[in-house]
Amino acid sequence: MNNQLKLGFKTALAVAAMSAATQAQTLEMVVPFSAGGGTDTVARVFEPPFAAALDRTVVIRNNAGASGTIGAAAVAAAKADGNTIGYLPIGPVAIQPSLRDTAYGLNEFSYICQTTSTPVFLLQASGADKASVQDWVDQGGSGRVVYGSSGPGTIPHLAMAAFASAAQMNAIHLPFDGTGMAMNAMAGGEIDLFVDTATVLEGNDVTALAVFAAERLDAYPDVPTMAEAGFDLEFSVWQGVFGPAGMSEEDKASFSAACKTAVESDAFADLAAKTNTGIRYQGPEEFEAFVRANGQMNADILKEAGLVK
Amino acid sequence: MGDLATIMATVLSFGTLAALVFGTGLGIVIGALPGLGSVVGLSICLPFTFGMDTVPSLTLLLGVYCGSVFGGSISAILINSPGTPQAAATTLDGYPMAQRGEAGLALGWASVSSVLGGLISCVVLIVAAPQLARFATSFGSVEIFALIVLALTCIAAVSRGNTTKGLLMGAVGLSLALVGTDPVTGAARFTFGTQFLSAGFDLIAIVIGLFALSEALFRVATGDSGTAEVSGTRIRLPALGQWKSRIATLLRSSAIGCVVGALPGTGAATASFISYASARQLSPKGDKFGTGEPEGLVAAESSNNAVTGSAMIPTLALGIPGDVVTAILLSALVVHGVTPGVRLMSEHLDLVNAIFIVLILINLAMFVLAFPLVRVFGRLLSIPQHIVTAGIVTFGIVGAVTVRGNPLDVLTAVGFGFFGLVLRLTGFPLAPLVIGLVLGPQFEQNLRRGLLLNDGNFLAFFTDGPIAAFLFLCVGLAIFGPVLRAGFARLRGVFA
Repeated sequence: MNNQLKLGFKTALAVAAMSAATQAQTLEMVVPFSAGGGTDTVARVFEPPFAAALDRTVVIRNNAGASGTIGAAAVAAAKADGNTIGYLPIGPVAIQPSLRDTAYGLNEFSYICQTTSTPVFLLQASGADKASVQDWVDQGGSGRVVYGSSGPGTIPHLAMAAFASAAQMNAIHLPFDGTGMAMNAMAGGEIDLFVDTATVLEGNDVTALAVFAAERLDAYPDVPTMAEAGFDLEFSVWQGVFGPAGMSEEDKASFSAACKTAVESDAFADLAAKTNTGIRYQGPEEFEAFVRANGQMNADILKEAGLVK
Repeated sequence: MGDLATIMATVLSFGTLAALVFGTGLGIVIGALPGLGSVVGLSICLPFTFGMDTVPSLTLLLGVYCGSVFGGSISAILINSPGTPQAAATTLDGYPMAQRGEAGLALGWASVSSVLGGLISCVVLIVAAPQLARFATSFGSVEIFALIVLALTCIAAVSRGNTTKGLLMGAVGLSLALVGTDPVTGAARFTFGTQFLSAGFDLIAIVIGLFALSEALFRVATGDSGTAEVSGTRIRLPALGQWKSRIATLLRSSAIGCVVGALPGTGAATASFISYASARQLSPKGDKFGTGEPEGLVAAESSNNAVTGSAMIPTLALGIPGDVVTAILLSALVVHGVTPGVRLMSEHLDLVNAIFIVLILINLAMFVLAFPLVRVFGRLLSIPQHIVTAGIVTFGIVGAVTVRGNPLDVLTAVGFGFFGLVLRLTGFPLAPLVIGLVLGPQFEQNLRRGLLLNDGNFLAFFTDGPIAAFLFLCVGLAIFGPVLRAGFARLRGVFA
């Protein structure tokens, strides 16, 4: 019995030592949404070239829930030893902290790099009897406009809320459990307007009235910008790589260099083309400044929309 | 269909057939293990499909999906723990049959009903996808709300003997669904300020705790071995004559599954609840439901498997995923460079036809694979009972932590395990709690969207349109039907 106990202890020690040894080489990349989601798909294509450039094993851990804030909190709370990073999109980083009581803020992250930036479009059903942004502004002035979103505090919601308040429209917001259900409601005529990326534009029976970007897009030269319609609004969904605050400068530098290589890889370009994702690399300093400005803008819109006291 | 030969050539390639057999078998195993449901199964397989061709990768995913919906019934029948929430209604008659020593027969009813339900929905998908997809878009928030209310009437149907206790459990389930994030404002609620609760309770963790863990605890607490009589299980197919009186239920339940599956935001669990409740009310054997009546199994299993085919209707015809499962399938298409959407059926007809054929083959493969896999599970249950119990606990806990990768979900599962034990010992039914919890989020979201659209006027729901009016009428009949029937019977007695 005594011998068995000793053997058990030794085995446990050996297992613990082995896991500690592997941990030194394995880099854990947290994705705050479930496998198969949009963020996860991009992260999984980003991972192989990123790992190759670092010459380390990178393991993706899906830590989903609460609009991505659970996973983002896990990144912020991780030890800043260069063994945990997060592949996070705009929502949990630059929107949710002003919408709810998250355990972290923008100061709890190290900023490594931006990977993507995808502008969004103002969409209506193909069969709608309106032809321009102004038609809907008129409708919203005299009657009401119903717009959908893929949930409160998502970019589709924020962009429409900002547009509705800029145009002083009488607008009703209907949040749905994801884009799919909102598209079903659009096909059935329950909602008039929706804002989302080119993937949604291409995949559904909808037409684009305008794009929330500074300039017209090369791929859609006929779609005017919101500024052309008289509303100076820019929105895009972006993703990037973050670490917990206090990460060493060497780690940040080597991660952002590997990130640049991965973002410029063929595999990443291929995925971006298939999913209409815009590739955009920004290094640590520019990315941090961009995220902070973006977070402030989103907080202001949420306040305006009455979602934040 | 002139190029049927080329389509068959892709489908009948070695890679596709291997993916078909492997995916379906894996799906059945994943479904049968408490805690590993359809979504977990698909998430595990998705990364592997990135390196495969389009048709084999879709075959693998569809096989896992269809297999897991059926697989859930195996553990529902054998150990009273639905392997997936979709099989919650299967426990109601499946486990009593197993307790009577008819586990093999119960599995026979479940597998034949599952396969027939699946095949019927394939036919509906092939013949009427565009029409049904357009019909599905006419379901707005008010219509879905009415449908969910109809599904909730199932609570009364499954709480045999004590309706009060059943309704109470349904209310507990609905309340638990409120914990987390407010779907309209995005604010955290009922979270006691904790980060963990702001994500809401995980349905899978609760189902694992409530059914699997509490079953294990119950066995320990009462020293009762539920496994002795089901050891060495083999599927026994029900005789053809047995089907005669139950064919109406099979067809009705499959039809319910086909329609509900095509709607957004609902799914196999909703379909099986509605189908079980309607079968209980409309079938002459309705009184025996819940005591191990095969027809209850037929109702639950044919409808939840009918959802597998019809969930593809909005996905293929409109490119709109109705649930997480079809969303994962669509993301697999995107990775392979196929843009899903309204033009999928016209631009990629070959692919769509291949999916049709694959779905039919998967259902046939499911039937064949069910026999050996059920024997393996039966063999597993014939090992000493304390090991089985330990296995249930281990798999349950592993399952709870896999779903979202959150270790705190284990606490949820364990907590609900003890809660479930208390409920079992005090005679409270478990199924109504799951029904409330599954339907809760869609119940609330559609109610609140409907109110936003109608300026807060609930009465406007009843005049929203013919579909909503019809569904509310069904709700009325479901609630007052027994009373009305008794009244008619008395009237007939008076005039006879």
